[in-house]
Amino acid sequence: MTIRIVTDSSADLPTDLVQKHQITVLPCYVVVNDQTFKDGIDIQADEFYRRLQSEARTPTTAQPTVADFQAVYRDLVGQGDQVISIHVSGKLSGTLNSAEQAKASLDDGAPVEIIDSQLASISLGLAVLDAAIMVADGGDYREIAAKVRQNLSSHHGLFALDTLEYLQKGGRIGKARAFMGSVLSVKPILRLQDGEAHPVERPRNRERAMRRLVELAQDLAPVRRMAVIYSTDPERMAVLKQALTGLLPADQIIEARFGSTLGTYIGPDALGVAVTQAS
Amino acid sequence: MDQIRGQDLKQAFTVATAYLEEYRDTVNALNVFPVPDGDTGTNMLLTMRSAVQSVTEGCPDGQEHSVARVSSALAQGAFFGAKGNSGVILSQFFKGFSDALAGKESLAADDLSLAFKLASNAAYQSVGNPVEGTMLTVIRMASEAVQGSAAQGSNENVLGLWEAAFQASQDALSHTPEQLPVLREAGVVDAGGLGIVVLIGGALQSLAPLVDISALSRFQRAANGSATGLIAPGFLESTLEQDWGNCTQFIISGPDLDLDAVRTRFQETALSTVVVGDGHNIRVHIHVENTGPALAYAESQGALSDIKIENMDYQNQLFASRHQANPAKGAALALLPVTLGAGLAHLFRESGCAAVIQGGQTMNPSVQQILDAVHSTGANDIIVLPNNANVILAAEQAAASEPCIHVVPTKSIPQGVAALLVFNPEESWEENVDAMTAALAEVASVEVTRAVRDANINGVSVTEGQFIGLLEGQMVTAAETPEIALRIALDQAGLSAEAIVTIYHGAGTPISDAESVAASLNHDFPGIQVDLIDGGQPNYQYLASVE
Repeated sequence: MTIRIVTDSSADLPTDLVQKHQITVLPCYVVVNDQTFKDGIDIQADEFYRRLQSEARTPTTAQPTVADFQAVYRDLVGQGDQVISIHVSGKLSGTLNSAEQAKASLDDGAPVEIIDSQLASISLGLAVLDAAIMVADGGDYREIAAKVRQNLSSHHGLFALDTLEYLQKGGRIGKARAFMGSVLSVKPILRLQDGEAHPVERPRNRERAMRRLVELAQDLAPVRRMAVIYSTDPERMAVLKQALTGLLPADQIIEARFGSTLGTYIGPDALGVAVTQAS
Repeated sequence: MDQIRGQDLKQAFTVATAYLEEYRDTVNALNVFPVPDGDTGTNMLLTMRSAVQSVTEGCPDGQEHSVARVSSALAQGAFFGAKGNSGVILSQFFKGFSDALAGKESLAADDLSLAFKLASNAAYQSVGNPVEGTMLTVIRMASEAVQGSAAQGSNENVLGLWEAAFQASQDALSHTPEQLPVLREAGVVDAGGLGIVVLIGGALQSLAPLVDISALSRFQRAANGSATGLIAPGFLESTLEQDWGNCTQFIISGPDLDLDAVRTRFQETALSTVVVGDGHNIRVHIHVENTGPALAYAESQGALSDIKIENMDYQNQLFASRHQANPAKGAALALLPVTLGAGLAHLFRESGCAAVIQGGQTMNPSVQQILDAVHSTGANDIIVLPNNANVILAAEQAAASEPCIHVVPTKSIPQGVAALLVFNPEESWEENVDAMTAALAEVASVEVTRAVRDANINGVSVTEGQFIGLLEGQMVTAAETPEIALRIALDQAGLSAEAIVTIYHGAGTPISDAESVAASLNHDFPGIQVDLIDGGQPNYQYLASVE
């Protein structure tokens, strides 16, 4: 009997890590110009960002369906596995609802633990990775799930956006609304906190935004695990990564890309840092 | 009592205002129309306070005063102190009331009938599109009850008529949710309507102390004067997605104003329009997305004063956040900058400031104006940005009088913008003041204006009409064009390819002139970031910052 980790594509986990840790990733859906795609399967990031900026209608996203979850859970439970299913914050998406409903349709006592990560993007990815590594070390799946929940507050996400336009168009502006404005060109920095994106500050250009991202990450030291992420500009992510090597050696910093689900809201030219604090 | 004397009337509305004071929070908490921003009670109260102050000064105690004089003083005070839609409507109630009593020594039953009738008519006329189920309906029903009783001759007693008005106003208030869908949806009676009921009831209590007005208290359901939670759950959240625009208020003064033309103009171009006044003073209350054209039109008609512009999206959010069971930390923190010029006011408002206090170098706001603006935000803590060395003192005096006011001593608009950009409404005021104060050191402030006289300052000789460039308030150059003065002052501020230069061009300075300066900077410092912003400020051709 094995313990299997399930997440969704909003975790933005790079494929090599998904394969290495045998993580099951349910794709979210993204609707571009009335065509529905599975995030990361039917549509890749390059094409998505090109269309994000060229289509007249803003893309929309949809959570994996109850049926998607049922298929995965039935499959795994049917072969005798136990499941820890870790997903994007319930305040940002309905994915957890799909998961919960799918679990409810299974036999009573089916070994499925569902976790609201209160996170999104690669900071969710780091929480998932943590869980996968715990599983490899062995233990009871319920105990591992409890530990994952306990550790959630050590994961942090910091994002520097080029514009809040996509967040607003997508209806996810939330608390970042305080940073709306069009007169001054600013590159808003947001932080994941209590399952939502909160405003941090408004640097005047990308260089300063990157500098602030680094400083804010440094404030979280000591660091146990770290990732950098970009939407359209890998070179700037490389610069960001280099600036963070004081916290962790470069070969230990994970590189990721915002997939089409996150990209719908975060937009082009965005950067992010995810940090797992050492306790 | 078969006649109400002037001093009785004065006492009646003084007591009524005290009652409104008590009901203010309840009225605020009910406020869902036209914009759910929780300020109706406060606006009505501020209007009544101004009315009472005017009658206190104009009709001193210990003397006989005619009802004509008392009602006219009330109307005048209400007019000049009117705040918000509800306040303006209230001021017109008093205007009509006072018109009916012109020349009257005291007030008998038939006078009261006419007074309520004209008061109701005036209230309706002040509004662009009267909506039923609001305070207008409550006023009209009260008025009709008074006239009905008086016409039947069944009630020669003036106090009996007043009591009839009170009863009818309560009935009308109870029925407002049937008339206005938004009230039904929110599960409340009309806020302004309750304000009217409280005023009529409070006045009645003063005129006839034996009458029982305790029925009023059924409208004050929540305990401890804190009435949060009166609005149906979910209603306020549903309002947050709407764009409410800017609540814009001002007085136009001039020798020969056309009230009807001004009213028509704003009815056609704005929402929630209330335009009242006469040939000399017109008070305008409108809701518009863009305040610029409205103010420009008003300015073409006469002199503007008492300008108040509030971001209703912000107020709506603040109100909604306070209705949540656990308001987010720091949700009730507001930023209040002092600035002049439509562009700068827009910049500050759209970037999350609660309101903007009009003022600057040539127009320093008074301590009272700052306090009024502070109160209009309804926030628990307010950070004031004076944005001018001459305004810091007034801001600090305001802060000394109320512990909720904090000042980041910004000496210029560029410093104010630097402070604005590190403002985080989710942090405490202490953390914000620290971060904002620290940010001031990161920015150099440049100003360009025209010399008004010959002078020799800091070793620079200036002749009248030349343009002078100031760096951190100190004159550093005098030149023949504002662009040359700007460029020299910027150079002295220290430029590099990594710098961010922000140039705010003033009213009357074409953007093409500002672009020429930007081009020269780009040429000399390839890679430099130059942002041009239409500040619209008077007196200064340019304001600029180097970061």
